[in-house]
Amino acid sequence: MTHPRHRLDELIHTPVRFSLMAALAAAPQVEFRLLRDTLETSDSLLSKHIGVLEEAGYLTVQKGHVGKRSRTWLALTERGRSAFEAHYATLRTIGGHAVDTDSGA
Amino acid sequence: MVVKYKTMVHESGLAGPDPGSMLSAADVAGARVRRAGRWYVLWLAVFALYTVAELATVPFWHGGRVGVFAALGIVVFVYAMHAWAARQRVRVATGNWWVAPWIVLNLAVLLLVGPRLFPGQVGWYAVAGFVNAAPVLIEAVRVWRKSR
Repeated sequence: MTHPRHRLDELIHTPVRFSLMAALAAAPQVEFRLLRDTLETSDSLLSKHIGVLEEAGYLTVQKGHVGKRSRTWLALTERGRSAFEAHYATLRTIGGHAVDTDSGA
Repeated sequence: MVVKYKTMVHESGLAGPDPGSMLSAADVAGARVRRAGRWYVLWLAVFALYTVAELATVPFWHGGRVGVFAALGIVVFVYAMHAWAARQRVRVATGNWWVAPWIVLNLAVLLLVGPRLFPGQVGWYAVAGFVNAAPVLIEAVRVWRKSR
């Protein structure tokens, strides 16, 4: 099992979850609405993905208030950051091996 | 900007989202969050400006009424800065290393050097304000460079 695809993390290997991890890797804590707007997804879909990644221990969810408004903050755990960095590196490696079907190869 | 995902087939026969598209989308998402963190650069710049303004006006703080207004101004400023930070959607990585030097310099200017050696000298207090603001401005530049 030497092909880099064996190192891919199935939990992260969906476009929304991978971008979510990338967004969280860019700051210590990011608010839910910014993630929703950045990833151009719905609240319910984003919540579903967050639930999966939280259960895996890749991110933490913290709820709070600013004035009367509730806010949900998300942050990567150390485990999540390691998983993201490994997945990112693996995708870059695979990208070098890939054959684009559009080119007819 | 919406990043579209292409489907790729690798040499091994693995099919799925194109790694290049996934990486591009991830880079775009990361860049957007970093840009959203730039509020902190402005926050630091305002804080630095306040530092200069505060110290440059110290020679005019004569009399009880002016002192009360100055103290009220500080309280309102601290509250406004706290409220501004609390409303942001990204929390920025900062060691807050600049806080201790800022406090030491501020107290040194206000309590020691200024009253003893340069009482009432507006020019000196203005220069001292810029020196006091230096740690804040250095942090602002550091955060700006990281957010690009």
